Amino acid sequence: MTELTVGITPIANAANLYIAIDQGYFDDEGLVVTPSVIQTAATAIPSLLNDELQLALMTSVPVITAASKGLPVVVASGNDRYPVDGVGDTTALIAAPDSGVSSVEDLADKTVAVVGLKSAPELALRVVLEEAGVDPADVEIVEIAYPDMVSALQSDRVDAAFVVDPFLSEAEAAGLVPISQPFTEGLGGMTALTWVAGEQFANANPETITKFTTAIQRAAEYANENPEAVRAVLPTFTSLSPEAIENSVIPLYDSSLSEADVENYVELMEREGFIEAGYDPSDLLWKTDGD
Amino acid sequence: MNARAARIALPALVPIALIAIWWFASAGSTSFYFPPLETILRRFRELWLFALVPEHVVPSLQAILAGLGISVVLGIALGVVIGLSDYVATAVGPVLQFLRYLPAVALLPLAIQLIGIGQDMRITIIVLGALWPILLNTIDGVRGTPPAFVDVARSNRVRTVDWIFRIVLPNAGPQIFAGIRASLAVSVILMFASELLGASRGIGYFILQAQRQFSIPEMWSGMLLLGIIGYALNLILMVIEHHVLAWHRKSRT
Repeated sequence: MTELTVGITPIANAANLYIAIDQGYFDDEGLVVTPSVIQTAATAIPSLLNDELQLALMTSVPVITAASKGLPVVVASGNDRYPVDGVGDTTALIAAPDSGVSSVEDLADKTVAVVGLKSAPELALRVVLEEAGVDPADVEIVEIAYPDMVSALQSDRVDAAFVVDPFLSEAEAAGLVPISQPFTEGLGGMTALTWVAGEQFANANPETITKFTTAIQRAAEYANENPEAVRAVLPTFTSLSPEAIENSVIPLYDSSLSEADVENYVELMEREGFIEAGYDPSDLLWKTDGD
Repeated sequence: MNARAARIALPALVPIALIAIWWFASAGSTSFYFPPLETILRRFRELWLFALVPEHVVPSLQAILAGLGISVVLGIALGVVIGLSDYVATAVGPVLQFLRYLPAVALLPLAIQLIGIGQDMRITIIVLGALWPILLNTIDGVRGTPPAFVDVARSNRVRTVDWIFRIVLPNAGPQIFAGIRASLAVSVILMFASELLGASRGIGYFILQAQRQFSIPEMWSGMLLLGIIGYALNLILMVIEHHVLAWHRKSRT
């Protein structure tokens, strides 16, 4: 048996990992997988490089940022995709009803809060701003933690905020109105979270990576077919309330990942100034045959 | 080498030697986290001379100067009021000591909830930390007025205003300045800490963001800048102190 410690954020997107553990998909591959909670990609990537973690689940934006700066990381597999239908999106851009902001067009010269600058939410926000004809340079994008967003909106410190559930439900209960769903409208269908490994570990252990991605692939299929199985594992690793789990929208698990997926991100990230132009992502996707 | 030249050369020699060691030890470094000093200095020049100064340095300096300024005025005023009365000083002593050792950073989450994430919050946090050294030193200094002065002043019926401004404060001056210097160090720390939460400007925010973006040379350049700013502020304070306390040195020689 090979032991792996993998980094995850305790959100529904990681449920397929727990399903793979519960269904014995890792056992079938001869793997013993221990999940470990990570805070941000910025702390998880150093853990991958010093082998504290062998794989970690993170969004494509920080991975591409890190790789473009020369950090030796590879993406072993996809995990899920941004929803193509707003019904399946548990995130939204919200505004206070009396703020004068009722659509993305109104955001020029306004202040918008996101959870982290130069992150996937900011990328999605910038895409919807541009699609609405607003120059992102005219919008002040500030960083606020999710728990502080509702109070920041209520006290007019920001005009809009990009929140996720359960804070979205809290915001709607407080009378704040969704004006856009940037993940669906901006990044819909694009790969969301990905499984990342250190290049050195992946090159030294290609069979382990293949076994892991095989089990994750099986779990993704099982999770998509059995949403109740996802709800069943959520209480074991998230702090979501039973009501929130009952109402939660199950992510679209998809472990496929193509070069086109990566290139889409690189293109957007270059355009929005997240990374410098000229980064070649051809080595980012880990390939079994090692070329 | 005469004594004067040595006094000027020696303090410069050690930093120059350290920088030289850093330069040569890191030259050609391929470590991601410890880039060559040459790279760091190049990024430093590109970022801080003076492209990002309005965006990140100005807000940080504003917060420090406003926070420290308020602390100086408040600390000296309260310190004189408290220090002039033995009863008041004894009564509030334990409370002040308690507040002094309550780390102001611990109040950050509360301050964000109450005041929000703007410049007001940062200045408030700086005042909450920087006030105590000045206040406590002022109280001590005021209470340390030699009893002989008190007697002379009483027998000559000196006006309270003259008493405070011509005798008590000048006498407490060196101690007050020692407090201000301690407060300056606290201000720099709190400025940095407050910018790690809910900021989108400032040197602290810049360093955090550089770390998150894996922009390691940029992160080092920010740390270098922070050190230079702290050093420069201390130097300015020493010059002010030198002039304000000029009488004090004369009275001793």
